[in-house]
Amino acid sequence: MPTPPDFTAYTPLAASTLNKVGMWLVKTQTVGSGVSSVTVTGAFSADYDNYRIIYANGTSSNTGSLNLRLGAATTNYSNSTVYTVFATGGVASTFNNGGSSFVYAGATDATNGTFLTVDLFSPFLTRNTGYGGSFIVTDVAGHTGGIHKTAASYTDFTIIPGAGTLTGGTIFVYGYNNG
Amino acid sequence: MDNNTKPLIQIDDLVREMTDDEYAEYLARPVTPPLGAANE
Repeated sequence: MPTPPDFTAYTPLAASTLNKVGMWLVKTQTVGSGVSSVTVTGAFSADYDNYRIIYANGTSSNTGSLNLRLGAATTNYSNSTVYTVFATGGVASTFNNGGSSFVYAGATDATNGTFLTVDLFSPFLTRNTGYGGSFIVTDVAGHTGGIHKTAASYTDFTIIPGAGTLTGGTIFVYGYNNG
Repeated sequence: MDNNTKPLIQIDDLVREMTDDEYAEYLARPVTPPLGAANE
């Protein structure tokens, strides 16, 4: 019987082995052309407590933030993004206290397009939802994290550019195996 | 942008114009700060 992470061609995998797979692809969503927001439905469920969301290879009409919203909730988002400027090594930050979305959960610019990669903790559970991720654009990079201080359950999320529109790229949603 | 052309939103594979209510919320959204100079 193959044992992760070493597998043997043409050897059946037992359920007990597959149940150890740590991350599963929940769904993908191709982004359309010139949209001001993208809502992904059916992303969160009782199947997983924690999730990874990635949005890359999209383009934007503006340089700026990619904001993240849970369900239809438009209040109680608090987060911070701290980053270093490559050219100078200087550190800067932006923050949000009780706002309408996680601001700068990701970002986009004309040179390299969209970068959003976050882990979401317990969005489907009736708890406050935390998140953490990497913040990347062409000339700076850093860390972003925060909490949505509303104990509610969500199945959907929306990515909203702070300015302009989004075109193309794919949003990936993965669920972490609860074990 | 005139009143007959509102921004597009996407819900899964459906792309459509914003409704009047969605457009009002869109106009009222906070302006996100630009990435500023380093604080050091």
